[in-house]
Amino acid sequence: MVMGTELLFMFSPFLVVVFGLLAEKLSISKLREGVAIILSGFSLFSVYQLYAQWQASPSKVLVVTLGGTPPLGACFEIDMLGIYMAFSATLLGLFAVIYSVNYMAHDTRLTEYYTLLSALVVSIVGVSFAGDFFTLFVFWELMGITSYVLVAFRKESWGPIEAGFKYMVMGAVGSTLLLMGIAIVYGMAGTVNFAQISTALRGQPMSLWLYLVFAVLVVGFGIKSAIVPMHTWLPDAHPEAPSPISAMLSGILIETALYGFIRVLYLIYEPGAFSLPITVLAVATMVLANVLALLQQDLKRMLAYSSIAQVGYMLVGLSAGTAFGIQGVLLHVFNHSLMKGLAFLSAGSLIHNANSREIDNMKGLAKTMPITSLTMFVAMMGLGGVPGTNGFISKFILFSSAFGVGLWWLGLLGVLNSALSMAYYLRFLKTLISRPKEAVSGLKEAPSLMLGVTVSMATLVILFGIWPEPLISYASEAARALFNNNYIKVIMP
Amino acid sequence: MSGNGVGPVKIVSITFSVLLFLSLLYVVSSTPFPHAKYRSRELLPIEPADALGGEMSNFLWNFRGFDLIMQTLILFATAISCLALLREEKH
Amino acid sequence: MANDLVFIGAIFTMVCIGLYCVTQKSMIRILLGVEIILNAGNFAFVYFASYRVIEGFVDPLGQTLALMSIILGGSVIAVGLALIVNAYKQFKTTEVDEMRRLKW
Repeated sequence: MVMGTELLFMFSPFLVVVFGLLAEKLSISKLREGVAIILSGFSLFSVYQLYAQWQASPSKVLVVTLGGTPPLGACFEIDMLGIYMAFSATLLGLFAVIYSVNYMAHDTRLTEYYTLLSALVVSIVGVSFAGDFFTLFVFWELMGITSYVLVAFRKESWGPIEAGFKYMVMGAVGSTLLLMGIAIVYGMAGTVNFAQISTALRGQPMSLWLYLVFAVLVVGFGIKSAIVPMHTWLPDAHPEAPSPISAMLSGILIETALYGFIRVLYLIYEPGAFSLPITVLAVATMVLANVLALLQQDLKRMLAYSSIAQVGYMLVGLSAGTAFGIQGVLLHVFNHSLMKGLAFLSAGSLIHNANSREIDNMKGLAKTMPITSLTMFVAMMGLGGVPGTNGFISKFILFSSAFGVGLWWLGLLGVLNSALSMAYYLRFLKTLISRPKEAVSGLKEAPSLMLGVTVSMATLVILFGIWPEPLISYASEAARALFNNNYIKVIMP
Repeated sequence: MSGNGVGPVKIVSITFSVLLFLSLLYVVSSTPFPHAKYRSRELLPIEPADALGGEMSNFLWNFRGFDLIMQTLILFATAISCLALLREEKH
Repeated sequence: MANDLVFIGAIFTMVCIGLYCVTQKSMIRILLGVEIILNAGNFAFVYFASYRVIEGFVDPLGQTLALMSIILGGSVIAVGLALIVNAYKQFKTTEVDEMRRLKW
């Protein structure tokens, strides 16, 4: 396989540090922000180049190694599923970096902030591309370390420190239990390469040790992915982080953890083997998150519980066990990253001007900040699944896949939960358009770069709701890449 | 040990750990561990040499070079994180 | 089989002790619990590598992975300690009970 410069964007954090230090010493303003934006655009372009290479020969899988041959050496395996997840990550990363230019303008230690943000994007792309269990673990740790520090970034106040510490403890426990799972799989199969593990372990009769591996995988991946008994870090971490970091965390990090879970599950076990435990987890996640979101007074905390509920909807699609269900999950991953990212960024604009996170203090903001309120309205309509936005399309595919397998009660429960979630979205929108208090009457609209990002994301949400054809075809090809055996045949013919 | 007496959290955590330990012991003793039973490749014979340290680092670099380069990225990110958390700037 | 019971029993004992330490009150004990589970994982890698033997040499892959995961554990502990330093500056204590200011 011939590879050009497609993977060089993985070294972009080094460049951001160099230019950041130059900007601090020579006092050139906006140099590091410009470099960060250029490098994010370059990574989006590199993912597009990889997609073009895939399109030239659709039945092949790109394998990237350094030195030794794949069954023993580490490798990247880039198929359509990886490209799809990497595209979501780099797109949201570009929007977050452009938004941060104005939002974080009054903070200190900005060099470290942009470096860690670009390292976070690189690590998410690395998790999507990993072809080896230990390579996935290395990028998983990088993803964890950068996000722990970015949540606790505004260390002058006590909230981010507490949230960051709680997140770090739970995330580190999850990563180390994942390492135990890798060790047990290595003991059984003698290798850590995904294709070889699949050849060795798929189709074997279920023994007690394979059930133990499933339990360890659920806990290890589920802590980062906020599945219900292990979700308690999320409602503290998302409000206290700076808004672009909340958008990245909620928009793509928990979905990448879910992608890791799906990938490893479909490689070790038969499709649909563990439908019952995943159904139980899906029901618990959806119901608990929606009920708790109704009781919140803090805007970002309400959006954080909404993220947990959306992960519950994705688990409904996973428990169906068919390619149609996985297509719904992948479509919802991309759509949720756009919608939830838009919601958190608009919330950041509102909070930036209102100086408070309580819903009651934002009464009447629609009069002075009309465009941001409109984008927030579009985001919440999409999150609730109103027809005309892309959220409706992906939720439709998710719940109809549950109906198609015979789990009609699960699909019905999902639809009811969607309707329930509209209650707290509409409550916030009613607060926005009610009679304003005196304190908010003198405020202006958000700065122009923040406004441009939110408006373009809202346009994408509505555009993909009216014209979903290309997205559905990409998602269906990515889902098919999970089920056919090209991934395995490349390494073990 | 700080704290007076055994509070409810401690009792729950001790019970949980002991129960987990007993269930894991049951798993170990009931089914024998399938050591490399499902292996799908044979081992590659490596020539024994005097400089075993050199052999080990050759193996590490040839077969796991990719992971090593990504680990330099992790070490770099750890250094930047400690800087971000411990730097005091007066603005 | 007796070998298995001793060694894998020891690995699971370390995991359970580590999980118990994560529920303690002092922040440093929590970090040490994470480190104990990490060491249990390294132990498991080396032990399972010893079952693939050819002419007196064991499988090098397991020991290589254990070597690399020690470095990763060191990074996580470094970031954790930096967070503890900041938490002490904010809350003036290292007990987790004082830090429960964020409600459900």
